[in-house]
Amino acid sequence: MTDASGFFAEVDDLVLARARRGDPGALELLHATFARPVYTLGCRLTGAAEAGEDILQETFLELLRSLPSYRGDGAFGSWLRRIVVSKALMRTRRARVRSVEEPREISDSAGAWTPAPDRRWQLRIDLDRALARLPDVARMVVWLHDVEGLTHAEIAEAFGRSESFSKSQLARAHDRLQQWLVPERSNEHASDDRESAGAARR
Amino acid sequence: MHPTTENLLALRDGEGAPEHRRHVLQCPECARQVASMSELQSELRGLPALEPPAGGWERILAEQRRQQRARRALVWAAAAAAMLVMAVTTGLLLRPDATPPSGPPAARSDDMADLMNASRELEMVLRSPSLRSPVLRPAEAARIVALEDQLALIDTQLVAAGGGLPRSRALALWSGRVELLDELVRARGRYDGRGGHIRYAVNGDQRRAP
Repeated sequence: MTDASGFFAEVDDLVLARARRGDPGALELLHATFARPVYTLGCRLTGAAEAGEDILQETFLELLRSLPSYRGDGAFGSWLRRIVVSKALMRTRRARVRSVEEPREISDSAGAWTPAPDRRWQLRIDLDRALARLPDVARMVVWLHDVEGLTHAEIAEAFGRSESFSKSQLARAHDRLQQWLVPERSNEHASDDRESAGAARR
Repeated sequence: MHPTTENLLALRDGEGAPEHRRHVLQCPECARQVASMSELQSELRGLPALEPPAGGWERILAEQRRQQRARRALVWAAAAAAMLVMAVTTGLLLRPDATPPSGPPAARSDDMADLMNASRELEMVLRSPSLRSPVLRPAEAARIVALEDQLALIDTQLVAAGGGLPRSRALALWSGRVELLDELVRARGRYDGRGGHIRYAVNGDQRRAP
């Protein structure tokens, strides 16, 4: 299991036991340890900082309610991550009632973007924008699989769908990300003919 | 025929069909595509963690206090309503020409008391230490969150209205509350920790958490 987003930080058993009893210091320590992973995952899954902030709050409120029932028979980070995913799923389901599942338009400010001098920084900006532009479900699946390391079976269970659903959403996300990101990469690597190969495939 | 993106992703993940693996070994374009998929995955994993806005913990605690106040207000409102119902019922029964309340079953005053009692009983079941709530699967957690959201919505309406709701509306809200609590018990109370099932009653109807 990968810990690319920090959910598997060491948590002292004593801190957990105290937090389960409602010890304010222990609870604050858990927040200090996991606020960044929770916020990051919330933002990445929803593609929006505002939603990430809401999910951060909802997740820790849920933690305050449910921690006494956490049995400790799995990694605490894993338990917490499931709460984040369920909150993000709830939000997505509510939002889907209002909108169709299509790529988002990039905001006006995106058009005024100028490349940063550092290539790695530029790539991160591109990736951030491309992720935010993906349809909600495809974005959640690619992040949960490629970054959080969830299997297709685990994603299928979270969404209440089949493994085929997870696999096809992952492929959909990759196709779109490659489509949006390859031109920029090709500019960086003039000798790289990946773009033409990608175009031929499409 | 090139393998699909799904097939190539399976190969990237160390899975996939042998014939696709053989194809990729012989096809530079597909090999490049698989490498590109791996590169994209590395780049996604390399995205930095995001810094949450400052003061988050204080806001969470403030929201928790607000929710607790709302819940306490609801308990008070429920108790006041129950006392009112009891006073009305007692008053009717003590009248010299007391007759049993008439009207359709849904409009009788004891229905409201039954709903409140059922509501109280279910909340006690939910608070019971023997009721395990491991929140094991995201789908289960999502279901519980959805039920709690709906419950909060009803509670908000009950609190906001105080005692000023029309009787039919109050009955509908309390009835909805009991149904949601009932579903919550079923969703959360899978086991009683002793290998048996949680048993409880709603309006005299014996039920058992699955």
